[in-house]
Amino acid sequence: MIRYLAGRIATMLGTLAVISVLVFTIIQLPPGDYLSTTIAELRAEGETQAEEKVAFLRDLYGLDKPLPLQYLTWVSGFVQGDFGYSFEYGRPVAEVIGDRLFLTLILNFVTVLFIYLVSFPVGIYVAARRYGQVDYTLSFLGYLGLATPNFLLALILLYFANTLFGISVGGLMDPDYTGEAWTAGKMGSLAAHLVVPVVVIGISGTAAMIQRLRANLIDELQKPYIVTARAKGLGERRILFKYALRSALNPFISDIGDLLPQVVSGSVIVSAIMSLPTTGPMLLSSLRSQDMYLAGSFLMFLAVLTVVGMLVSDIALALIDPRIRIGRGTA
Amino acid sequence: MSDLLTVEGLTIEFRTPAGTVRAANELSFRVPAGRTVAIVGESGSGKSVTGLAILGLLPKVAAVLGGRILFRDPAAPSGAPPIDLASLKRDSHVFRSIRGDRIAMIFQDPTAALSPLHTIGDQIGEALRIHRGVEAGEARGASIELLGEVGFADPERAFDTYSFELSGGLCQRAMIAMAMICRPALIIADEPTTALDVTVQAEIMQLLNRLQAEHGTAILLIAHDLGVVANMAHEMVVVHHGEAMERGTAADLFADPRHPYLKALLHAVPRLGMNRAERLKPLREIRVDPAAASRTARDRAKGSMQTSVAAGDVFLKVRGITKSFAASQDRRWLAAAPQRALAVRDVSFDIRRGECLGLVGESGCGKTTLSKILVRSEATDVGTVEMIDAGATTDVLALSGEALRQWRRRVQYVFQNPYSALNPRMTVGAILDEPLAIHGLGDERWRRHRVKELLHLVGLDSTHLNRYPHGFSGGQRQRIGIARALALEPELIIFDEPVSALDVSVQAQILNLLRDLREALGLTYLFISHNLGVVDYLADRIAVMAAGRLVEIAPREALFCKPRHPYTQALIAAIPEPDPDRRLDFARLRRDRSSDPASWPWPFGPSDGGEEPHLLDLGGGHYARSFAAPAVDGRVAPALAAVPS
Repeated sequence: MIRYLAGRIATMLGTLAVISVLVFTIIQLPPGDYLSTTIAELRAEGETQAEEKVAFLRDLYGLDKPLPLQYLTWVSGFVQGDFGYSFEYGRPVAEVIGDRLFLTLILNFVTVLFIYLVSFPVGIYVAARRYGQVDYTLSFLGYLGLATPNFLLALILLYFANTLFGISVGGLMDPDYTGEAWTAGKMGSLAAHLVVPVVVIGISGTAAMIQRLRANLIDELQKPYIVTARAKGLGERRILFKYALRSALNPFISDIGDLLPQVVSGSVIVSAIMSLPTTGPMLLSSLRSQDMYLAGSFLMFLAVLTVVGMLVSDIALALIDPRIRIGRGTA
Repeated sequence: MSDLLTVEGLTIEFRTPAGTVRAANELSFRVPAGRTVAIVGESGSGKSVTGLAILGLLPKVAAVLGGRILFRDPAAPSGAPPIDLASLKRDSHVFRSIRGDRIAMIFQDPTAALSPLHTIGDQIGEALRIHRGVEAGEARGASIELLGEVGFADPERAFDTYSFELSGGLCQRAMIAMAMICRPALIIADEPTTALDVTVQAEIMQLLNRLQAEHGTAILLIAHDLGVVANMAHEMVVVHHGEAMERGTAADLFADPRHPYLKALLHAVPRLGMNRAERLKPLREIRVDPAAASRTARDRAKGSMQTSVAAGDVFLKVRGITKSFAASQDRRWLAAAPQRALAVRDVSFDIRRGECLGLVGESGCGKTTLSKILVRSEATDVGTVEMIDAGATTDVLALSGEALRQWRRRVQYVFQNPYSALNPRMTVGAILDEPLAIHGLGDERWRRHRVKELLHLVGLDSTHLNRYPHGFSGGQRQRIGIARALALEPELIIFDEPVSALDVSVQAQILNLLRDLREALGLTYLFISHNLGVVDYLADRIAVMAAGRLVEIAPREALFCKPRHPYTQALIAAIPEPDPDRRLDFARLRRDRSSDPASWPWPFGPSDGGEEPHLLDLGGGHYARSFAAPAVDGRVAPALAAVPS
């Protein structure tokens, strides 16, 4: 098990290293950089002072150095917690994204939690009562959830949240709290504002997850070992939970790794529409303006999230599935 | 009225979108306490359905239309009326308390019937926990004791293993332990040995017989193999299309079968040491169309004038073939270098023109790998395969390009599973035409003609040309597979377990067909099977493989009369014969894995230095893998010191 873990973590670090090279390369692909566009602008305006500042920055971040060296500077800074400097905002990246990162993490964590908390019981229920009325109704609603465009749903829900509960439209908290210290009121406002985005971002994932769990469970319920369990005299409930669910859990868990990045990237459009102060919209603008360190940090953040999600699901799988735990070592 | 179970007029129907099928029709039989009753029949006869109906485990599409299943539990207070299982609600508490406690079940495929995610100990003890309400610790103790009783060498350790860590035989032992843990009055054993190798099958039969003798458990055996039935059953019911054809004690029925169906079944099974002239009698005989055969044979003579060599000459010379596979699936970059497992180890033999060479061994012994090397679909690590044709020797393993294409024409392959060997999206005509088209033979008209001829050759007719494989039965599909192999007029056809997926009567059809085709077309066969009886029916010489090694090769009479190698002896001793008077000598069966080279005594096993013996000529075309000529003793399967595994 320890060897398995060590192997997984080593693979994870290797993957991250490769991703960092890719991210850096892709950001550098378009001709020029943020500074060259700025210089061009300033020159046109006849500024000279700014040019010195630009030269200072160029020197500081080694933009005149060869690319591999730039990459190394960037990556080594990353490891030490120095994410670089956002040219667009004129502040260090860490400062720019700090709060947003926190809110993004909260939003996504709650969304994933929502997906699992809803889809797990519903999935089990519809599988146990398959081909019944509830199954068909919920499956229909699920497909509806998959098919509805997120932004449409967002607008409708926002309208109702505002008219029925008086929650301010957009954002993740009441505008009064922005920039304030964290108080109970601010937290409450955050929680109230989280509901709509979480539902909107999570609904399609939930529907997909319910369908998947249902299909897996129905598959498992037809396996010979289920007949064995029945022949042993076990009740249906115990067969469902002890045997079928146990096997059907595997895909459920291995999805954690896929779900995280999906939710994060899926939330970009919704965040833009609902003007959520998350990282999504900022990533979009930073990519457009070639604000390389900001964009790079975001992309790496996504990558770390994905890889960590994979690691978590791998470990969870090894814990619940002896075929992975034992099979790997001996077979 | 001492019958434990009485089934009266049981009628079961399957209602599917495709229509209604009656799986059991007015079926009646009884199971006396402490005895074994066999339900015998071919696949689709309704025997498994009956077993499931007794325990209320029928799938939802099946409905019991009528009849009673009366269960008199000997543990119930005397005077209590029997319970009609057919009228019980399947989810009811009463039925659940009978299932697994008073009546238990063993299934065909033990590896699939056990959950891979729970330890076998947990699954065995579970029945005890739910029915007796015992503590986990107590259940553990009882399970471990029972695991020892069913033959686990280290029951303590076995308790915590998972099914995927165990062989099929050990899984079945665990299943039996699970069925026995509550000491049921009746065990329903649905084809308990069908998925197992013959030596393991003998062990499982022995175990079931022993447990019955010790605990007085009645067994309802569901089986198609009359050899297994003869070795276990006291009484039997022969079922055909859901109806009981014949009923009686096993001794009577085997000695004097009355019903034509049972007679036919008995005559369809190949027995060891059958006279060469004797033919199996399938329920429906298919004959090779002599006209078609001779026409093809003529074509053949025309096309291959230069290969006019006498039958009996060596055609293929196989020497020292060794092949290893990576044993570990672990290919991650931190993993140690993968271990290699030898699938085939130093195998040498000849195939002579016009002969049928049988290749016998249990699953995983390397026989299929070996055949794949011969057809060049698998590469070998070491060794040579030479073809001798009119005095010229060709290195088969070095062939490439056009020469390799020509080799593929000469050697064809027939697969085990006729259901997956034919492309379901191609018509039969297209399937048979494909090899001709690939090799660019003839024009379209000639090919159409040839395809029809091939169909006639295997007893199908040209109305079948435009149908798809799923419209055919297993036996018919296998005939299509054979016709496809014949299309290119090969010299050698390799059959890899061609009849093991088929029912006995269909098996007899195919075996007769293969015999006739060989005679009519002068073909050479390499016939691979785990079933010695089947091999014996067709083969002139038989080669025996175990653990990747070719341990013995001899003319068939010599192999059966004087088997020299301990593995061959164990194999022959384990074959159940469909004759209750000639039951297996279970006492002589070896408890350990007889295919493990470490268990073979000197001069057969590897030396202390790990050196392996080679094939040794014993005269008369008899070879055994041995360091020295073994003493000839008349005994089959001498009692060898059991080596704990």
